[in-house]
This record gives sequence, C-alpha cells and structure tokens, in this order.
Amino acid sequence: MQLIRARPCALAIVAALLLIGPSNAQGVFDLGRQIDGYAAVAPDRTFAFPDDHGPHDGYRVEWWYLTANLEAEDGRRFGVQWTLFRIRMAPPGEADDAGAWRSPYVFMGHAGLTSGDAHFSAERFARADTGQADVAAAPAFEAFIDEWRFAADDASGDGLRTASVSAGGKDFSYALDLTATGPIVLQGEGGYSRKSPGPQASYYYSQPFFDADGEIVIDGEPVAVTGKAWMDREWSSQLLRETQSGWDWLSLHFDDGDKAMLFRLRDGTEGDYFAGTWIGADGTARPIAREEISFEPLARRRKGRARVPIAWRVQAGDRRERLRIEALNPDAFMATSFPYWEGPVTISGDRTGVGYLEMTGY
Amino acid sequence: MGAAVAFATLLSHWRRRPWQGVMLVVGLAAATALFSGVQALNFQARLNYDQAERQLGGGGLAAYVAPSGAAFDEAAFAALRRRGVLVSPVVEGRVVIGSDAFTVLGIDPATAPRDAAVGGLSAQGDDGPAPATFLTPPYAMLAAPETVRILSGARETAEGAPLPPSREASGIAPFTLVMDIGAAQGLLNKKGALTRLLVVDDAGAPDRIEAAGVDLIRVDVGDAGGAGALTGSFHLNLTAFGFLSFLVGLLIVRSAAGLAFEQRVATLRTMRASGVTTAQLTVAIVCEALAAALIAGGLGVLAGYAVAAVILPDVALTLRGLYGANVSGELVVRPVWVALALAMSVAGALAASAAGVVRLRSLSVLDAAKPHLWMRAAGRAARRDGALAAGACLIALLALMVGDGLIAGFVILGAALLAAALALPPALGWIAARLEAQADGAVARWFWADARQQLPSLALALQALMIALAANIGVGAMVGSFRDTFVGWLDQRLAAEAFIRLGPTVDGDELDGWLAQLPDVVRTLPFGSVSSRINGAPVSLLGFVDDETYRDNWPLLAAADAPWRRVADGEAVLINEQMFRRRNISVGDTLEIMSPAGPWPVVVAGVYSDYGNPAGEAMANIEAVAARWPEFNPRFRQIRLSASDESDAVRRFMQDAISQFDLDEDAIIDQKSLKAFSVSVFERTFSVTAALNVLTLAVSGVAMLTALSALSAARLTMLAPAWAMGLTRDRLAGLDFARTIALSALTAAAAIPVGVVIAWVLTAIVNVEAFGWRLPLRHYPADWARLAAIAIVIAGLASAPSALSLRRASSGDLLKAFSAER
Repeated sequence: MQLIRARPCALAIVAALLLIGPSNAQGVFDLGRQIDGYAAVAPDRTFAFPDDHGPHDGYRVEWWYLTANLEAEDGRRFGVQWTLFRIRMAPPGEADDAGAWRSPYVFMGHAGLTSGDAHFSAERFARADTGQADVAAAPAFEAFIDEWRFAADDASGDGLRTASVSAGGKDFSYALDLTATGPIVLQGEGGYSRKSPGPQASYYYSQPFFDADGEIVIDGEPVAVTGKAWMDREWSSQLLRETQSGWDWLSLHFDDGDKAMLFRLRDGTEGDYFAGTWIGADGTARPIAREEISFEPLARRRKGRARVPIAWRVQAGDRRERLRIEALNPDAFMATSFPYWEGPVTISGDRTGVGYLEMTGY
Repeated sequence: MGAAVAFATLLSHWRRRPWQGVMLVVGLAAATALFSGVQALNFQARLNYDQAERQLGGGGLAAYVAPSGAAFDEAAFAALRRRGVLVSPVVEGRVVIGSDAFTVLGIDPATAPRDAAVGGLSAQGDDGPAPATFLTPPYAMLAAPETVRILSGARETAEGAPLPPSREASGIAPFTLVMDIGAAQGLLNKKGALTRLLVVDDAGAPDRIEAAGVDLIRVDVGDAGGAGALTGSFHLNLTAFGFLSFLVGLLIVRSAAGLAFEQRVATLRTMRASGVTTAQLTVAIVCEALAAALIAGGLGVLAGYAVAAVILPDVALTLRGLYGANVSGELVVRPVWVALALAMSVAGALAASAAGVVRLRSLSVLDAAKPHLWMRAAGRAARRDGALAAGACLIALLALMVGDGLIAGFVILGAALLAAALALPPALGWIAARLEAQADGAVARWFWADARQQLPSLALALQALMIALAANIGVGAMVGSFRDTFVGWLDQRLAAEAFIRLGPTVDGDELDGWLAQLPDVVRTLPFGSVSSRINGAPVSLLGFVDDETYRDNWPLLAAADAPWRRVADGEAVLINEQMFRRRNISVGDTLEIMSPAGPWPVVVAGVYSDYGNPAGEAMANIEAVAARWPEFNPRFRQIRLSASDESDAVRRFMQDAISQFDLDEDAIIDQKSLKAFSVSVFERTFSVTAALNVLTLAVSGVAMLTALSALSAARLTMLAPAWAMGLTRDRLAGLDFARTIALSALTAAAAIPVGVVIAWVLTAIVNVEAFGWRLPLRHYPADWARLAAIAIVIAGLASAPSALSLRRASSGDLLKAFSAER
C-alpha cells in the first residue's frame, strides 16, 4: 500500500523519528482506519470562539495553519507558512496521564518561506506539557513551539481580531502582524467538513480575512512586506479513507474580495472526492457541491519519483468559473520529515488573485 | 629437478619428524594467538568506545551542563527552546539491576538530533517500538541484545524501581538502557531533572543562553575526554603485551625452524649437488614457511579469538571500573584483526626461516658434511650475540637520554629485553665454564661442559623463559608498587568518616543545618567543583574548606612554605600531579584561572598526588571560588564523625541522612566502603595483566619443551660415550634433568635484574607518560622467588619427557650412536 503523505501523516513522522520502518508504521499513521477510542467527529457541532481556538482533547490530530501571500514595496512576491500540529499517539484510555514526558500528545511545527526563486522550510517537534510547545485559547489565543509563535493580542470579539505570527529556520525568518477584516468562516456543513462519502470528516473553520504586515528576513536581507493571510483550524480522528492517497488543497484570495477554499482527495479506487467553499467579501459562506468542482493538472515538476502539478485548471461553483492556478515558485517542496509541496500561487482566468496550494501524497 | 620437487623433498622431513612440525605450528600459532587475541580485545573496545562516545555526546555534539556537573532543573530546556536555542534534553545515570550496574540514558526523541546517533541508535534503524509505547507510560527500554540477555527479564532495579519492558535494538552500547526521558527520570529518581542538553543547532546560541538566564555551561565533546582518550594508555599496554607474546612465540618458531634446517643440511646439499639452484631452494623454503604460516596463522586466529573471548569479560570489568567505559563482554569478529594476525604470522614465519635462507646462500656444494664443531660454532654465536646485545643496550641508553614520551618508554623496554636476551647465552656459557673449572671429579666437569655444549640449542628456549620471567617481575613490581602506593594514599586521602553527594532536589543549607545539630557530627566540610581553564587548558577547579582533615592527611608531593594557609587565604592553589607533570608547572609559579569574574591570578602552593584521575585538577579555597563563580554550589560534603571506629554509628548516621533527605543510596558512602570500592576497581584493572603474564610464561614453557624434545634424539649420540664409560641410564637421565633445571635456575637469576630494570622503566617512564603520575618503585623478592620456582617447575615439566625417554632408551639405541660414527 502506498504511503500516505498527507498532512495528517504527522504520526508517521513521529514514527519515523522513533526509527520505525514503513511496515511497522502502517497501522500507526493510517488515519483512514477507524481506531476505536478517539473522540468522534459528528455534524451539527456548535462552535464557540475564542474557546475553539484552543486544543480539543481526545482527537487524533488537530492543526493551526496559517498561510500568507505577501508583497514587498519593490513588487517582489513572497509566501509564508506557519503550521502547528497536535497529535495524539494513542486512544484515550486508562493509562492516560499528564505532566512532562507523560502526555500522549506531541506537537509538530512547520514553517516555510517562498520567493519567486527560493524556498525555505523548517520543522520542529515537541512533547506536550514540557513548556516547549502548547496551545491555549485563554486568556488570549496563543500557539507556540520553541520560539515560533502565533498569538492573538487579546481575547476580544472572536478572539482573533489582531494577532502576530513569527517563525524562522536556517537562512530565513518572518514576523507578521495580522488584522482580521472579516468574520471567521465555518467550512463544510456548519464546520463539519466531509472528506469522503463515508464517515471520514473533520471539524474545520477558517479566518480568511487577515491583512498581514511585517518583515521577512531572507538570506540575511530584511524585507518589509504586506499582504493577505488565511488561517485554517481543523481537527479530526478519522480524516482519510483507506483508499485516498493524498490531496490537493487551495485557499484563494480573489482581487474582488471574495475567497474560496477547494480541495481534492485523490482516490484511485473509489474516485476522487472534491469539496469547497465560496466565501463572499462580506464573509457569507456557501459550500460548493462535489459535482461543481474539477481539477486538471497542466504542468508538473519532478522531484525524485514524485511528479507534482505546479499549474492547474480549476473549475468551481455553479457558474463553473474557469481558473488557472500557477505556482509562484515550482520548487516549493517542504524538506520536512514527510515531504510535500506547499507554496503561493497566482490566479488568472475568469478571476484574478493570489492564493496558496498544498499537495501531498505524490 | 625443479622447485616443486625441491619443495616436496623438503616437506618429506616433516613426515619423518612430525613432532618438530607440530612444534613449529604450535609455536607460530601460539604467537599469533596471543597477538591476535590482544588485537581482538582492542578492536572490540574501540568499537564500544565509539558507540559510547556517539551516545553520550549525541553524535559528537556539544552540550550544556550544570557548572557543578550535577543534574539541573528541566525548566532550563523549555527556557532555551523558547529562545530558539535548539537543544535536546538528556538525563543519564546508573542503576543496579541484579548484580550489574547499567547506564540509563533518557532521551527525548522529539528533539533529539535527527542525524546523530543518540543512544547509539542510528536514525536509519528499522527496529523500535511504536511512538506511544516509547513515549508514554509504561514506556519501553531499548538495549543491545546482549544487554537484554544479561537483564534476563528483570522487572525492577535493585532499589525496587519498576523497569519498562525491554526491547532489543542494535547499535546501543553495552550495559546501556535507552528509554524515554520520562521513564529515565522515574527510574533514576530524578523527576524534573536533566543532566545535559545536547546542542542540536548552534546558531545564535551564546547570546540567547545569556538572555534565557539559565545557569549552564557549554562543554564541547573533546573537553569531556572520551573513553577512547582515557583508555589509550591501557590499550597501548595491551598492545605491548601482545607484541611481547608474539616475540616469545617467534623464539619457539625460530628454534624449531633452525633445528629443522640443521637437520636438513645434508639433504639440501644433496639437492644442490643434484642441480637444484639456490634460487629454487630459496623458493621452496619460503613456500614452506608460507604454508606453515597460513596453517599456524589460521589456528592462531582461532585460538586468539578464544583467548580474547575468555579475557574480554575481565577487560570489560577493568575498563568499566577504571574509566567508566562500557565494553561489551561479547566479541565481534573483525576481518581487520584476522588479516592483521595472519600478516603477523606470515611475517613471523618468514623472519624465522630467513636465517635458513641466508645459510643456504653460503652453503658450499663441495663442503663435506663435517661433524658439527659445537664449541667453535657456539663461540662464534656467542661473540655475535654479545655484539648485538651491546648494540641493543646502546639503543636503550640512547632512547633513555634522547627519547621522549610513551614510545620512547617502549623502545627502552624492547631494547633492554632484547639486549638481555642476547646476552643470556654468552653469560650462561661463561658461568658454566667457571663452574666447570671449579668442579671436582670427571662427572661434575662433564656435567658443566655438556651444559655448555647444549647451550646453543637451548638458547632460544632459555631466552624466551627469561623474557617471560623478566616481564613478569617488572610488571609485577609496577602493579605491586602501584597497589601499595594507592592503598596508602587512599588511607590518607579518605580521612573523613562519610561522604555525601547532594542530588538536585537536596537543599545544601538545609542539609548543613541538620548536620550541625547532630551530636555525632564533628565537622561538615563542603566541597564542589567548577569547570575552568588554567593557562588555556581545561581543568576541574575544586573549592574546599581549610581544615585539619586536609592539612594532616593530604600528601603533598611538593610544597611551598605553609601551603594550606596560603590556599586558605585565597591567594594560592594546589594542583594535582597530572597538571604538574603535563603542563610543566612548578611550585611558586603564577597561574591564570579563567573565571566569570575575569582572570584570577594565583600562585601554586603545592602539588598533590591524584591517582586514577586522568585529568588536570586544582584545589582552591571554597570562598574564593564562590566569589568568582556565582553559580558555584558545592554539592559534596565530607562528614567528620566523632564515632569514627564504630561502623554501626556511621551506618546509623547514613540511614538517618537517607531517610531525612530522601537521598539516593549511592549518594552517601562511608569511608570503609569507599576505600573497598576504590581498591576493587584497582584490582580489576590489573587482572588482565596477570592473565597475560601467565600466558607468556606458558608460551615460554612450550618453547622449552620444543627445544628439549627436538634435542632428545641428538642427545643420545652425545650421551652414548658417557654411558659407555659406566654411567647408568638412570644416572644419565637424572643428570640431564638436573642440567636443564640448573640452566633454568641460572636463567631465572639473570631475569631478576632485568625485571628490576623493566619495573623501573614502567614506573618512571611509561606510567608517567601514560597516566601522568609517578610511582615510588618497590621490590617484591617473594615474587622473584615464586617466579623462579615457577621457572624451575616449567623447566622440569619440559625436560621430563626427554629424561624419561633417555631412561627408557635401550642399549641398542645407545650403541647405534657408535655405529653411526664415521
């Protein structure tokens, strides 16, 4: 069976860290398999902010994901990624314990910075309850691993009105101030995001309306930047179906102020699964039906054995708008424990704008 | 006739004299065995040091540790990570399970350097438990397969702490248990404590460390001095022993090969006369030597492996005891040492047959087979050997005067042994001649004359015996001197009645307060150490309280006036002998010690001996140290008790302290136990030396047996006239036996002064170079007597078969001697 190199495969990374070969690891990271005991994801959940910005116990995986499309005064364009995963290593049970080195949770952080001709990435791991990494909704939202930090300035409103984010690695760093200009958006059916026709689903909400302003340091050169940022929050215990091999995921900022989130879960056996949301400039969200989305790769980039699409023709919505999506930098491969592609894209066609593309499992 | 036929003809000799062949092979095999055995030990140890070094240093990474070297609060880990200092926590300690001590290594897989082999595990390994099993209770414990076998399913430590389930994992150093840091903290009773933070990424670390406000200092891998560096001298000694054994073995081979050549001279001449060229004969002889070398070398490697496997557990104990270096008790076969051993065997066989080849070149075809002129030949050999001995003596003297370092020490040893060995036959010949001159009666004179006649044939065996004896005497004197000095020194230095090491959770002030109110406690002497540099070299600086315990008991090798008062005043320090010798620092010199408060100039007031410590060390007044190292926190206490002799009272005090402060059992120790422990470490250190001594003696015994049995056939010819003149076979056998005993006794007597010289070189040169301290040399005449007795017993055993066969010889055999005469 093919390795699943999706975001939820963080467990596999921890497994790799612990020197487990793929054959042993199969049962551990296979998020497509139902493992009894984890908290289940069900429709009709009531979301509450800022509380839901904090971690949710009992689920197998949860993440805080921020991407930003940035531009310098001289017109150079950049992309920034900040991600923190919280992974539960075993189902809740009698052996549950808390305290340093005893928690069943581990954190994994990824940071990326992409320019037109360079791409940087870094990765961090941490155990929960050691003070090295944590997430809290109160007194104000804060998520950190080592010196990387994503935090709200206060808990007013939905708890994410103004925030700051920073991270860095070898030869790059960034620090951005974020200001929300629109509301938090629930993805899928009121925050219940299906990943297959079966029971696979997650809780999923976004803040796609961040204005970003700050500084990046690239190869020692500080560059002042401004742009748009998008935050995703997602948690689940059974995210993928066993036959799904990876995904292609898009967050799009159109120049007219609208936004869109689109994804395709590739499934060679049962057929691909599509989902998405149109988000109006005023924050109204409308799920896009599976049949209203199509993804067509136009060009690919080879990396090792993987051939990753770096230009797409995407059609979406009841008007079947035709969008051409092109990577700012085709080489935005994340050099993390489990490699994937993540970078800024340019939109042309029926609408124009910028966005972020993530592709896993190639 | 070609080389092949010549080769076959040469080999036919061994069919007629199979025992000579056996001896040749046994000698070469024994030499190879000892050499390859020692090499196997060295290879195994190095392999394990590498594992241990990678493991402790996290693959050659620098680390942050507490200045005192003690455990520290794990909060420092998160504090540094939050400032972007990428470090990975490690907690390390020892536990006793059953009767063995194990190193527990607690790691955090989440932050451990990915490409480094923390815990000796390589990142590419394919064995290991699932993350949840490793990272959360009840955790898992990884250990080398051999270690898992030693654990044999143990479920708890000697102290009753439950062990995580063990799993086999390759690449972990022996006697090491790798587990999650959470499990290790629990097992070591170090909850919330770390022993080091491995530096994963260095960028910007120094500034951020300061900003994080943690009280840690950085140690680089080289500073810690890996097991490899510490044990280098030990392995050099082993190697030297290996060579010595090889040389002794070669003497056997030389004697067998020489004899075989002597007996084949007639055959060789006949072959030359039949048209075989010298070159063809040379090729044949070399081929024969190579064949013998490969057969014997193969056997030797097998035997060497067996020797190493038997000795290895002892070596492992020694290395663990003396240096804390873990060496596996299981031997791994390395192609390198097998190849090396075979190469040595071939080189040895070629060297042994070289003399034959040289003789072959001067062999005249027309030279009639004259009766051997023993005396003239012996006289020539004696003059040649005498000259060579003088040359070797000169080399030894030159090395002594000009040479420097450990290598010079071994050159002196080698040259002195060679000189002594070469001088032995002429010396014995001279003594026998004097005794012959003074002897009364024909039989007595014949006895000594015959002894002189036998000397050339026995020379090599006697030389081997002498080398073995001299090495035994020398090494024995060194070990004995060391032991006596060490025990005396321990008696002086460990004057306090009890010693306490404070764990990270024990409050020093609270402990001192509690101690002060105990009626039995006379004084509490805190001490602790900081890492520093003196004149650029890393040292451990010990802060101590001025007290009569030190003034009365610490032996100083050299001192200025009132050294203790000057140290108490904070203007001077004492340095250990290792610094004194290695850095060429003298009493009265001014040193500059690096401290956080800037350079601290101090005068050297004295030098103290510090046996067993491989590193440089200095002692300073505790307040002076505290004033300059803000983080200095003395974690050790020497306790003077009024009830010094009553061990019950000491034990009671210790139990009170343990229960009052929840001390680890090993955190407090009484004087008697500490001394016993130190001495046991010492004893184990030299158990290997003893084993190798016995082996060298055994090899020399084989040499003697070879020489005598080879002689026994030829002896009949020489003894036949004496028999014909009326000496009975019993009498002849008795005299023959006595002659060997007498020669051995003389050899033993000659070995004593040589042994004393070796002992002197070992203590005055080799030891100082290898360990950094000098021992007062003592002599042990009882050992000499014991060794001489052993030598005589060996000679007796070796000559018994030929004496017996002489007794059993028929008149016909003896008569044949005359019929054979031309």
